[in-house]
Amino acid sequence: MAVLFTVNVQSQVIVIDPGHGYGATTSDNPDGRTATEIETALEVGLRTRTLIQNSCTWTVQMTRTTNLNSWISVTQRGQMANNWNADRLLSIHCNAGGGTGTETFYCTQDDTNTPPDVAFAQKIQVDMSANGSWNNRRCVEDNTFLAYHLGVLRYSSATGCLNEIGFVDSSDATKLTSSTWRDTFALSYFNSLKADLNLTCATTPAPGAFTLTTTPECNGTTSQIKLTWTASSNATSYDLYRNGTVYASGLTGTTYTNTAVTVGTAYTYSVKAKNAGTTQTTNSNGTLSVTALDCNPIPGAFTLTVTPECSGTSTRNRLTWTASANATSYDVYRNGALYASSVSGTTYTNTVVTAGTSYSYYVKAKNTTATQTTNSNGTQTVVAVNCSAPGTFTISATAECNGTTSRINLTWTASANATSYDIYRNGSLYASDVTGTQFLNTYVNVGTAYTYSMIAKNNIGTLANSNGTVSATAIMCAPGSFTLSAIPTCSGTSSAINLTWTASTNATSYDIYRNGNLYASDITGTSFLNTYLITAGSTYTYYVKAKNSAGTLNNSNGTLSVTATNCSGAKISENNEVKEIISISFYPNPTNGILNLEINNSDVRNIDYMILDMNGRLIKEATLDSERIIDMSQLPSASYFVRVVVDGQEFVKQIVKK
Amino acid sequence: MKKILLFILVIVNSHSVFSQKIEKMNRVDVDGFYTNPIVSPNGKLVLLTGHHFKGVYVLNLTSNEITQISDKDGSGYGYSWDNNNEMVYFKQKEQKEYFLDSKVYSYSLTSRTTTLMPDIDINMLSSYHGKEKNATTQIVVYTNMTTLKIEAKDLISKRSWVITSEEGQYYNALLSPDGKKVAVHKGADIYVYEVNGNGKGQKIGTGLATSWSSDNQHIIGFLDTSEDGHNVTNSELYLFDTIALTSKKVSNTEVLLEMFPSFMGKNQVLFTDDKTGAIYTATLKF
Repeated sequence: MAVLFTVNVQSQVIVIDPGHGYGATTSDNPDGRTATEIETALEVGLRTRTLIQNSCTWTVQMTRTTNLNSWISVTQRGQMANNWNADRLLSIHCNAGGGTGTETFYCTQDDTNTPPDVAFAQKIQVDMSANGSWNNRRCVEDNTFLAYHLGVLRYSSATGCLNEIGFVDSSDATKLTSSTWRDTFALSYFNSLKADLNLTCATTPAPGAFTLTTTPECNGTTSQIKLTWTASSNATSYDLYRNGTVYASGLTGTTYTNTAVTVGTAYTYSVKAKNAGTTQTTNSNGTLSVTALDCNPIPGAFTLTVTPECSGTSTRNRLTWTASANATSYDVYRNGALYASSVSGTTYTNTVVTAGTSYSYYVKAKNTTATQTTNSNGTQTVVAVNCSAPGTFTISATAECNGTTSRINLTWTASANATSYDIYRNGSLYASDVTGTQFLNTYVNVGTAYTYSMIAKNNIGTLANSNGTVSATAIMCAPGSFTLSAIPTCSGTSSAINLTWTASTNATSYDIYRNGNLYASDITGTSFLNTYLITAGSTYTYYVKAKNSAGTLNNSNGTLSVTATNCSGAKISENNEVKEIISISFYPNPTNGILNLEINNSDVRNIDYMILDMNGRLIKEATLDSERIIDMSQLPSASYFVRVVVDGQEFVKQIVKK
Repeated sequence: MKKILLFILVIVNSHSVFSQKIEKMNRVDVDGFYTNPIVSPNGKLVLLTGHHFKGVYVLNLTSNEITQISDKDGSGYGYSWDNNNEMVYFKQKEQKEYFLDSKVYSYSLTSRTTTLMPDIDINMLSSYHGKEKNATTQIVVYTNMTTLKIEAKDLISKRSWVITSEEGQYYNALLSPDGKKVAVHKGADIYVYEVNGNGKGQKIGTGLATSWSSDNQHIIGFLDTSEDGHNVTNSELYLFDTIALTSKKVSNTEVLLEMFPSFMGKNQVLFTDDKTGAIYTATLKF
C-alpha cells in the first residue's frame, strides 16, 4: 500500500514561538504580560520568519501570527511544534522585574541528549548579546535558575530554547520597541539558526512578475473574498498582505479565499512572491481594494395580490406578488397557517378551494436564514368564485298598472350560477347587469306592444332564456285623484258658480254633476263657469268625475256645496280692465227649425253649443259656423235647452221647437 | 518515596480536595515519569512516552509491566495502536536527522519485532490503525505541512481532500473511532469537523483533545494553565460533548497536573500527572 505524501516542504523545520498573546482584546491578557513583551516578541518573530523565507528553503512556522486572539497554553504551543515536526523551537520573550540584558534558557529535564539544546541556546545567547549590544546575563538550564521547567520547551521534542531579549521595565525597553533594533534582533536569530543548523542559503533568481485579482463573493450566506493570482516564475511560495500587513504566509498555490471578512468592510490586498532568495516580488497591478459582500440581506418589501378566478369550470385563487429583493424563496400562508413553503417564483395558484368560501392569504419572503419579511399590504381575503355556466330559465311579461302608472312586469325563473342578467326589448339591449328575478318596465307608452328576451350571465359565459321572445302591450290605467273647488261669482250681473279642479292623471275628460245629476259631460279642461239657472241665494252641490277608457274617478274632496251670490249690484272695478259684457239672443223662439244666434261681439268665433232635452240628456253638440245658425229642423217638436259657451261664459236658453 | 507519600495524600483527601466528576481514582503502580498515554482498544495495554516525548513504552495494565520499544527523540508523539491490540505504530529518527526524515515503524507485541513501514507517512501516524482487511475505504487525517490545514486521505482510493477549509493554522487532528468526525486544534480552541470536508468546524471548547469515546460522541482532553505563561501551574481534565457542543471540567485538583487522558472502555479514563509522571485511572461520572 503506497501512501507516501508528496509535500513541498524542506526537511529543516523551524517553529518560532512568540510566547504570550492577548485574548480577544488587549485587556484580555491571561498571562498578565506587558504590551511591550507581547508585541515585541511577535514583531521580532515575524521579521525572523521573513528573513528565513526570503533567503532559505527551510520551512518556518509560528505558533501565533497576531497579537489578538492568540493566547495559547504552553502545552499547546509545544504540541504545535511537535505536530509540525519542528527541528528547532525558538521561544521569544522579554524579561521583567528590573534588570538589563539578555538571557537564554534550555530544558533538558531527564534528557540524555542535552548537547543540541545547550549548543542552540548558547548560540542564540551569544549572538543576541553581541548583535543586540546586551549585557550577557546567562544561558542556563531552566530549572537550575528558575526552579521550574519552561512549559513550551518541556512539552516539545524539538531542540529548543527560550530567549528573553531584554527587560520591558528598564532602559532596555527603548531598544525593544525600536523597529531598527527589532530588525537587528531578528537578524541575530536568523544567523544563529543558520549557524546552529550549519546551513547556508543559496541565492536564487527573483520571482517573476504576476498579477492579482480580487473577487468578493458569497459562499452560501458567508461573505468571502477570493484572491487569485497568476503564477510567478521562480516563486516557491507567496505571502498575502491584507491592509498592509502579512495576513497569510507561505502559500504555495495561486488562490486564497479570505473568509474572515466583515460585510461592507473594504480591504486592501497585495501578494508577494517569494523564493529561497532575498528578493521578493509584489504583484504588478498594485494594491487592490475590495469590499466584502452582504450575503445574507433581509428580504425587501413586497406586495401581494389575490385574485379569485376560474380555470375552465374549476375555481381557484391566484396569488401574485412583487419580487422581494434578496429573497430566495417564499412561504404562502392560508387562513393563518403555512400552506405552501419555499415557493421559488412570485406566483402561486391555490386550486384546492371551494366556491363561495372565504380565504385569507399572506406571503413571507425568505432567504437562506431565518430572516423573513411579510408582504407589506397585510392579509388579503377573497371568496372563491363559482365557475359553473348559467342554467336554463324562462321569462314572462305582464302589462299592469301600478296605481295610475302603466308598466310591463317582466319576471323570470332564476338561472343557476348566474350573477346577473341582460334584458333586451324590441331586439335591443335595454338593461344590463340586472340582478334578481324581476324587472318593472315603466318607460312604456299605453297601447304600445313590446317584445322581451333575456340573457343570464356569469364570468364563465351567458345563456338566453329558453322560452324565446315574449310580448306585452302597455295598458291604460285609471284616472288619478284630483280635487274640486266651487266658488260663487258673478258673470256680469248674473249669478254664477265657478268650478275649477286639479288635473287628473290619465283622464281624457270630465263630467260635472250638479245637485246629483249630470250637468255637463266630456269637459276637456279643468274649469267650468256655471251661469245657467243660478239664482242668487240658492245653494247648489257639485262633484266632478274624471274619465278615460279604463274607468272613472270622482274628485277626492267629495261633493261641494255652494250658494250663489246676488250680482244685480255688481259693478266693474274702475281699476280693472273694462271687459265688454257679452249678451246673446236666440230667435225666433219658438222656431220651426232654424234658430239664429245674435251676439253683441262680432269678434267671437268658434262658438260651441249643445242641445239638451228637458231631462238634461245631450241631443246634439256642434260648433257654430260663421252664420251662427243652429239647425233644429230634425228634432221632434218639444222644448229644449240650448247651451252656448262664449269666452268662458255660459248661456243657456230654453227653445221651443214647433 | 515521595511518590508514595503523594499518592497517600491524594487518596486520603479525595473527598475534601476533589469536587469533580470522576471517581474511583487509582494510581497504576509503576515507577518512572510517563506521559501521553494511549490505551489499546481492548483496554489492557497502554502506550507511554517520557519527557520531551522521548521513547515509546508499552504498559501492561494487568501485570503493570513496562516494555520499552524505542528510545528516540520525539518517538512518543503521534503513536498509535492497531485495532487488534497486537501492533504499535510509532516514528523515530536518528540523532542527526530532521524530524521530517523520521520513519514509521511497527512493533509486534507477539513477536517483539520492530519493522520499518516505508509506505506510511509520519504525519498521518496517529490516525493509522493498521491495514484493514477487505476494507473499501480507510481514512487517515493529518496536518498538511505546507498549508497547516487538516486534510484527509483514503488509503484505498488514494484520494485526499481538505477538511479545514477555513483560515488558520491547525494542528493535532484526532479521528473518531468510526472515522466520520475529526477533532482539530486551532490556537487554543478545539473544533470538530465532518471528515468528508463538508460543513464548517464547530467549536467544542478550549484545550487539547486526546481521546474519543467509543460511541463517537464525547472527547476527553485537558487544559493546562499558567500563572505567568512560562510553566504549567495547573491542568485539569475536560469532557467535551461533540453533539451538544459543550464542555465540562471533570477534575479539580491542586496537587495533580492531570494531562493526556485516554478513554479506557466506556466510562473509564487513564491519565498522567505531569508533576510526577504517575499514571492514574478513574471512572467518569456522566
